[in-house]
This record gives sequence, structure tokens and C-alpha cells, in this order.
Amino acid sequence: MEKEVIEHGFSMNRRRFFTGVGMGIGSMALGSLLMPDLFSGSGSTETGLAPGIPHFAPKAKRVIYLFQNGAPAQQELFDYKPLLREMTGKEIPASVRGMQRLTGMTAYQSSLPLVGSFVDFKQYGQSRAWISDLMPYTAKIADDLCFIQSMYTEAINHDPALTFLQSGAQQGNRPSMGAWLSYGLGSENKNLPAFTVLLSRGIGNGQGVYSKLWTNGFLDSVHQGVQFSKGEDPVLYLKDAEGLSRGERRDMLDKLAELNDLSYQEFGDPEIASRIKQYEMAYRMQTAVPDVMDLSKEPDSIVNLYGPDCLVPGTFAANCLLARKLSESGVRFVQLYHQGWDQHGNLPFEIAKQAKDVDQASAALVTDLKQRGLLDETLVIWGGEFGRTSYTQGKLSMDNYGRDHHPRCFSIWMAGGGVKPGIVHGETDEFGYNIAKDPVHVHDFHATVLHMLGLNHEQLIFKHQGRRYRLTDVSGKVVNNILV
Amino acid sequence: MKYRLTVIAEQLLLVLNLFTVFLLLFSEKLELPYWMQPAGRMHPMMLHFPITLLLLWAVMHFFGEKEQNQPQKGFNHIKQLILLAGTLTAGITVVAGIFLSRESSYTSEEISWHKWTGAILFFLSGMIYATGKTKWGLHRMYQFTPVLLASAVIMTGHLGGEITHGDQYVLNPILSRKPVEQVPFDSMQVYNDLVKPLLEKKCMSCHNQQKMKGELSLADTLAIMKGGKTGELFIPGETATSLLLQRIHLPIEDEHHMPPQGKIQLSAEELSLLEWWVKNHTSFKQRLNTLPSDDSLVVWVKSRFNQTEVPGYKFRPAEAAILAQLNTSYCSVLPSDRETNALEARLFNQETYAAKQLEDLKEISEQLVSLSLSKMPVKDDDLKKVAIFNNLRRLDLSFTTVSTKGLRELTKLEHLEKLSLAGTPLPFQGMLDVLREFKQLKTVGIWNTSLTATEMKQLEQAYPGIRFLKGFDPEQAEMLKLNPPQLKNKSQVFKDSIKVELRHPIKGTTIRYTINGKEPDSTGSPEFESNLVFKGTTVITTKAFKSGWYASDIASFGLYKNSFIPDSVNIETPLNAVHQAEGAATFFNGMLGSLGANNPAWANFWAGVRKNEMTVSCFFNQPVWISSFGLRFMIEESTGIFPPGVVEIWGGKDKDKLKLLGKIKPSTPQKGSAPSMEYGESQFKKTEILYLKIIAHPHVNKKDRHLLLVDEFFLN
Repeated sequence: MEKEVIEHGFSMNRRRFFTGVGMGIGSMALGSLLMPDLFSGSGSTETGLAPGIPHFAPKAKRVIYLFQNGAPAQQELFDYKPLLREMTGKEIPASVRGMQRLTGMTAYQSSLPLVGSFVDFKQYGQSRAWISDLMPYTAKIADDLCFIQSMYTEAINHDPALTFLQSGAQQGNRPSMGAWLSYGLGSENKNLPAFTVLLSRGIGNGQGVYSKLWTNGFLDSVHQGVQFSKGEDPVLYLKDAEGLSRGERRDMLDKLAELNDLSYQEFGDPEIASRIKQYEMAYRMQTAVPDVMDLSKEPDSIVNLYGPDCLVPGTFAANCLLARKLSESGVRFVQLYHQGWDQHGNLPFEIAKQAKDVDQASAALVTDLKQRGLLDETLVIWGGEFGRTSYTQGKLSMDNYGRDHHPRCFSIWMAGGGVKPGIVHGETDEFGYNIAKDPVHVHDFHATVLHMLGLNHEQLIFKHQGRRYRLTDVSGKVVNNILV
Repeated sequence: MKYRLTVIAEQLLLVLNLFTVFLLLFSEKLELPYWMQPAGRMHPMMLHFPITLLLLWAVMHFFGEKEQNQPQKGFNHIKQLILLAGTLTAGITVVAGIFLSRESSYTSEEISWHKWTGAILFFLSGMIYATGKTKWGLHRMYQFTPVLLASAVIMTGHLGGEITHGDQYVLNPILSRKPVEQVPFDSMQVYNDLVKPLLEKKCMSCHNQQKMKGELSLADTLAIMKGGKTGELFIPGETATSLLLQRIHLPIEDEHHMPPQGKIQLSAEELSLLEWWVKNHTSFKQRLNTLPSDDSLVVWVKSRFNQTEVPGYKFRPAEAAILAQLNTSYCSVLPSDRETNALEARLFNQETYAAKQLEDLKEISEQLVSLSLSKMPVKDDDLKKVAIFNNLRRLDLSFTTVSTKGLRELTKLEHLEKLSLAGTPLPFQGMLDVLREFKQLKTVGIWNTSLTATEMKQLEQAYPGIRFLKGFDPEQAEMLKLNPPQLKNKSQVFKDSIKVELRHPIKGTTIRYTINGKEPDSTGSPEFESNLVFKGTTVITTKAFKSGWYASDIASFGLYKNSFIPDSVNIETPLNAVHQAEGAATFFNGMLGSLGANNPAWANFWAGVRKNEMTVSCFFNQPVWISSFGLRFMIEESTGIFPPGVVEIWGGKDKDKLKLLGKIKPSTPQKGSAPSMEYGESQFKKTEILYLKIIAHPHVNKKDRHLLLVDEFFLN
């Protein structure tokens, strides 16, 4: 047994020695060749571009992603299709549907009748974007928004689609977008995590969100998303235990760091070093978090802007306001999830409620950032994981219908740093079923977002288990037409 | 044997010499049969031999012993053999080269220098070989031949290389390192900044003032307008007939195609750029910002030059050691990008703030372009330390206590473009006076200050060049509806009495309530006060009011009295897989569910059945006297969640002889009714029990069995 332990230690050391030598000298040489004067942190990627610094001058420094979990029906919100109303009740033409794979929920449905939106649309702003009456506040800021009507994805079910949109792969375990940004740009404020997550839900049919969606994957665990929850303890286990003073906490952490350092010396596992760093950050978060989470000092005008729900913890409005405060404090990536957009049935009732939950606060966030001069450096993204079908799921009645999952097209909007404001990019066909112009794949979307943050998606690389990984995997093109 | 070979080689050399002379004289008339072409194409491979061998000989001869003494004999012999081999391969290379030059892709001007130097090299090395064997080989002058030969080799090689790789191939990385100045869009000219660089890159190596191929020069605008041998280069607007476009669009095999085959071709973008230019050219001073914003060129330029857009500054890099030192937990100094070496600093945590932090930043005062001191307790004196960062572009002083005096210190920052003064106590007059002294200021944040709307307007009028960030104007806000009051009690179930904890998130709100189910009104209904206590099961209906807001929707909360908790509870029939809640513990745990429970993701506290009845039996260790049974259930007509059809309450002291104590039969909900959570109760004669059995039957409508969801039982 003892022999084995020694052997294990030896092989560990040998392996570490060789990777260390290879990476160390190689990257040093490369780094000094390419950028002799570069201030580099500890690690560096294979291309010699040390993470933590944008590859070129960024337009945006931070991202707030208002994720609409469950997939909102684009036909009811931003993709105006008058033909669907005319053709309501008629079967979807085979030429439009093509060889489309359907979900198990509608594949065996005897007929697939088209259904037009129950809600009216009007045109707004200089782009004359069509926006539904369910989104009156969003309509008011149309000139700040860039709509992409031609997003498409590869997955047809929530979990893979959501995972794909967050991490660039359907299977999970790859780092989430926020983790990549934290890795690529570093932390702006060491008193808060670079990647935070806020959850809320509406009354509509919901789909789960799991912590794997904000995983650091194979990246260092300091890049993992930290969930802020509603209620008294926004970050779990952050408070000192009763009777423990801050000084005692400090002493305890110092002692713990010493012990951790000992085991780091012995085993050399980089995760131990990360752990030490995380304890330290948690200590600093103890003062930073209450300051950010305190909404009581927000003036009345802000409450009016975001709507009264912004003071009710756990609502989408409150999360939007928190997102602004976190972003303002230097959090690179604030990820919101609002659940309840999965309208397979009872769509008119549920989507109206969902829209009401998010409309005012989403628009308020953009307005608020703008009035603080922060919109120039913050990218706001609004959208779900895929679209919904133009035909109804289940029975079509006079005032009720549902829509199934539809990966072939969906609408999102972006605003702020790096995005051309007041434009509509891409188009779907008259049936709102296929993309007619300028398709934007999820990989393209990722490439574009990284570009706005000053990162070249082909150079933001992490080598893991012998393979070089990117958020955009092996594809992705920057959508130049939506850049400022 | 070896000697024989040398003789054969020498004879071959003579033949090659004659053949080369022949080829040189008649090469212009030479028509190369296709099967000979591979011989020509051996040229790029062959040429490496003479270069290496002849240079090797030159080195050997230059540094070798000059005397033909005995020990040197072997060395000299080898030397001569190398020269012979070098000359021989040079000859083959020349012949192959001449063959290659006859292929259509090369023009004779281009290769003529290379051809002749190559031929001279060949003859020269032949002569050196020949004379080396005679007494001339011992002549003093012969010692210079290596230099001569080496120069000829290098020159020929260089000229040849330029044909393949382009002019200035070797020095290009150095010569073209001129810093490219990014012209801002507004001063960009179509010709100067787009067309001219393209012509310089792809056309002017031949069409310049000196070479003027086809009598065309593109060196200046006059020459461009003059055109060349064949005629005018282009006529603005005439895309179909303009010579320029014709030539660049000819198939690449065509001999008139430009740039000629073998040269670097135009990219698709460059083709469209030239096309646009011919079509829309008005003057050589035409500016991009005079074109409509949806013009294809404008769109292209904006997207094309976007990513290389760089700020108008570049600094020496800061020392890594200093940066590492400055980056602490409460101060971050980050590079703004990889090109300019500019730095951005931000301080955090007011408790740890110290003016020394600013002093430390002095080390990077050259590179610092952005500094945020937001929320830091900065004193006016500290701002003197900020004033030395003379490359500062952005300064955030929001939520500090900066005064007019402090602000004045900052006027020394002559590059300052963006300044946030939001949330500061700065007086209007102070701002009005001091802002004048800033030179470059473009944006100033003044929201959350004491400034009134009129004062803000005055500032805007006084400084038309500055964009003021004024914040959200509450005047513009529309009247909104309040959100409903919230109940903060940990549990809505109580044993004896409950103190009602109603709250509203917005300050200054009045909550009014009723307990008879009627809607509270803004005057008649009692106002909620914190000492409200209920002793029995009550449904309180509440509504929030505040001036400037519409009254909220009503919110009703049930507060339920439960006097007895059984000592054991068993579920005798299976619950729905997705509505297990907390099993038997569900019914007396004091936790109530909320709406939307048909969704598995948040079914939480609801125990549900559909296929069978819900049978729950309870047991008490000591007999209790009960006189009522109540339960709470959900109704969501649209998704098929219905109240129970009937609930039977059985009880008694003997397990096998339970008596029916009462029944609850809630009414069926109306079609389209809003979702709700209801309370059902049955009162009966006070009975002493040890056992209690509840059988709740799901609602059945013809063959449809509806879902029944229950979150709590109440015994009194």
C-alpha cells in the first residue's frame, strides 16, 4: 500500500513536472514573442493570449442576460405574422413544414392547424419594429433595441436547448457563457463573484432551471456562477454564525488558509488554491453583498420605473433592479432566469401574465442603465431557448390554443454596448416557421456577444483532456450587421 | 572511373553552354511543346542546387589554402568538383528557367533581369571552372572570383524570389509597419481612405509613375483621370463600359485580366468597392458621411472598420510588477484592451478606502484613462491626487461628497470626457461655474442630485456641447397600480390566536381590510395596524392605497385555526406521482401551497389524487373532542383542478366502528372562473375520538375524473 502511495505521488509529480515545463516555458516564449510587454496573470492559453484581458477594445464590459425560460412564443411578442390570422384553422402546408421533426407532444396529432396571434401588433421606433400589445413598455424603448428575428437552434427540448444556449453544447458540463466571460475578462470587482444568477418565475407553465446551467465546467471553479436567492440570505451560508464576530471569522479563515496551503503544497491540486481564493472572496462578500442587495435606498422614481414589484424579493422586477446594481458594481455577467414561458396550452391567458411580469422591468432596466450612462458598456440580452410553432398544440378553440417547441426560428432582442440600436435583423417567412433572411445560429450569437466584449471567439480557448474547447465549439460567425 | 565521369560532366557543361546561348538568342520565338513544360517547372526545385553548391565553393575557396601544396590536393580536388556540379546544375536551372518563362503567365519585362543575371551567373561560373584548371587559377585576380560569384548568386536568387513572392517580399514586414492611422468615420474620404490604399496595394507596383505599364499610372488623381494606352480608366456612373471594371472582371486566364495571373488578386470586397467607386464617384474628395446611412458602402465601412477601431492614444506599457502590486481586493486596475496599454482603475469598499490608494496609482498616472471612485468617502484634498492623472478620460465620482472646490481641482484634467457627479451634494451654481473650465467634457452624470428639473435644463442650455445624464424623470412616469399587500406570517395555521403581519413593500402605503369577504374601500374599511389578532379561522381581504398610485388589486389570506395534531397520520390510497408533497406529513405541517401547482416544477405542498379517492387516517394517543373538520383545496378550472366531489369524515374511539361525522360537498366551479384556493368545513356534534378517517373523492364529471389537490387539514 505504501509503495502505491509513493508511486502515485511520483507519477503525479512527474506528470505535473512535464505539463508544467511544457506549458510554462512554451507559453512564456510564445507570450514574449507575441506580446513582449503584456501584463499577464498566472495562466495563459495556448495562443499565448493570457485570459483576463480582452483581445481588442471592447464595446461592452458587462452582460445582463434576461433569460426567458421555457421559450416565449415569438408569434405573440415580436414576430408579427398577419397571414397566420387569415389562415387560422387551416392545416400548415407541407411545403412549409418540410421534413421538420416534431416533439412527441404533437408528432401524433391528427392535424396541425395554423393559429394566428390573439393579440394585436403595432409598429414602433425608427426601425418600425412590430411589437405586440402585450409588451407596451418594451415598445416604448424600441429605438434602443436590436431585434433578431432569425435566431435558430439545434435542440427541440428545453433542457438541451437551454444548455446549448448557455454553454454552446447540448450535453452539459461545458462552461456556461458567464464562466467563459469570467475566464476571458477576469473579475472587475473582487468583492463579488464575476458571474451571478437570479431566478424568478411567473404563473405560466414552467420548466426547471438547474445549477448545471451556471457551471464552470472544466474551467477553474472561481468562474462558477453564484446564485443569489430571494429572502434574508441572498447568498447561502454567507452570514456569520450567531456569536461569531468578524475578527474571529478572520482568524478562522487565516488558520484555514494555512491548512489548505499545506495540503496544496502536498498535493498541488489547483482546486485547493481556488478554494482558498473563494473563502477570501466570501469574506469580502459579507460586506459587499448586503450593500448591493439593499433596495431600500432606491428613490421613488426607480420604483415607479421598474414597477412596484421591484421591491418584492424574488420577482422578475426585483431581479432586474438587482441585476442593475450588481452590474453597476462590476459583476461581469448577471444571468436572470424567468420561468413559466412553456405555453403548450392555455397560451393566451398564460402569456399575457408572463409578459406583464417582465415587460415593464425589462424596459426599465434598459432605461435605467441608459440614464446612468451605463448602457454604453453593458449588453442586455432578452430571449428564450427556442421558438414556438405556428400551428396549435391540442384543440384549437375560439379563444384558446397552445404552441409546441420550435427550434427553427425565434426572436430575441439585445440592447446596449456594441449593439446597433433601433434595428431589426433577420426575417422569418410569412408563416413564421422558417427563416427567410440572415439566420443567426446559437454559435453565431455567442461569437457576436464575445466580440462585443472584446473577445475573439476563436481565441478564447481552454485545453482540457487533450482537446481545445471554445464556447462556439468549432463554428460561429460574428454577425457584423448588428454591431455598432 | 572517377576521372571519366568528370570528363563527361565537363563535356555536358560545354553542350549546356551552347544550348543556353541558343535559347537566349531565340527564346522569344520559342514555342514550348506541352510535354516539355514539366522540364520548365523543375526550375524552382533545381535552383537550390547551384545556389548551395556555388556558395559552398565560394566559401571554400575564399577561406581555403591558396598554395597548391601536397596536403591541400584532396581539398582542392573536392572544391573543383563542387564548382563543376554547381555550374552544371546552374546550367540546367537556366535552361529550365527559360522554358518556364515561356508559359503564358509571365511577362517578359518581369523576368528579363532575372533571366540575364542567371545566364551571366552560369557563364561566369563556367569560366571560373575552366580558368581554375589553368595557370590563371593561380593569378592574384582569381582570388576575387568567389566574391563575384557569390554576389551573382545572391542577386539572381533575389530577383527570382521577387517574381514568385512579390516586390519587397523580404523587407515588407519592416517597410509596411508604418502605423496605420484609423481615420474616424466622419472625416473618411472614399478615394483617399478606401480606394487609394487598395490601388497602392494591388495595382501600383506596375502602374506607377516609373513603370507605367500599359501607359497607365495610378500615382495621382490627374494620372488616374488621364487613363492609359487603351483609353480612359473609367467614366463615373458607367459600370458597363468602364475599362477598369472590364479588366478586373475578365476571366483570370484572359491576358488582359487585372491584376495579371500570378499576382495577388482582388478580393470580393475589393471588387465591390471598385464597382461602387466607378458607379458613384463624384469627386476625389467625396466624404463618407455625406452619403445616406443605408448606402451599401457606409454599411460596409462601418462593419468593416469597426473591429480595428482604436482609441486615439497609446501608452508605454506599465510594469507588470507594479500592476500586480496595485491590484488588491479593494482596488482593481485592469487593461482596457491589448493595444493601447491603457488602464482602468476602480476602488471598492468604503470602509477600506484610504487616500493612499490614490497616491499608489501615481505609478500608472500615464496609462490611467478611467477611474471610478463611486461611493468612496473622497475628500476634496484627495482630488488633488486625482488631478495628476493627466490622461484620464473617464472619472466616476457618483455618490461621493465632492464639493465645488474639489471639482475645480479636476479642471486640470484636460482630456476628461466623461464625468459622473450623480448623487453628489454639488450645488447648481457651483456646477454651472466650474464645468466651464473643463476643456473636453462630453458627458456629465447629474442624476440623483439636488438639482431641479429647471436647473438641469439651464445646465443643458449653458453647455450645448455636453450631454447630461439626468436620470429618470418621475414627472414622465405614468400612474401605476400598487402591488397587493403581502402576508409575512411564517405559517398561516395557528393553534390559539395569530397576530396578523401584513406588509407592503412600498413605503407610505395604507392597507385596508375586511373580514367578510367584501372588497375593502378607501374610506370605510378599517386600516390595518400591527396589533391585529385573530382567534378563529378568518379570511382577511386586503387592498393597498397610496396617493399618486392606483389602489392595488385585492389580496385575500386565510388564517386557519387548528387545535389538534394527530399522533400518527397514514395515507391509505396512493397519491399522484407528481403530487406526493410531503406524504402523510402534508396535512398537518402548517405549510400552505400556492397557485400554479398543476406544474410539476412547483407542486410543493399539494397532495393530489385523480384515479382514486384520497383516504387519510389519523390516530390520537389520547382521546380528543372535535366538533369540526376543515380542509383547503385548489381550483383551477382551466387546467382541470377541481374541488372534491365529496369529503366524508369518519371518526370514533373504536377503529372498526367509525361513524360518519359529517360531509363536505363544495360547489362545482363555473366554467372560466379564475383559479383560487378554497376552504371547506363541516361542523358536527362534539364527539370524542381516537380514530379519524377522511375520504375525499375527486370530482367526477361523466367519464372525466378531475384532479384534486389538498394542502392542509384543520381539526377543531
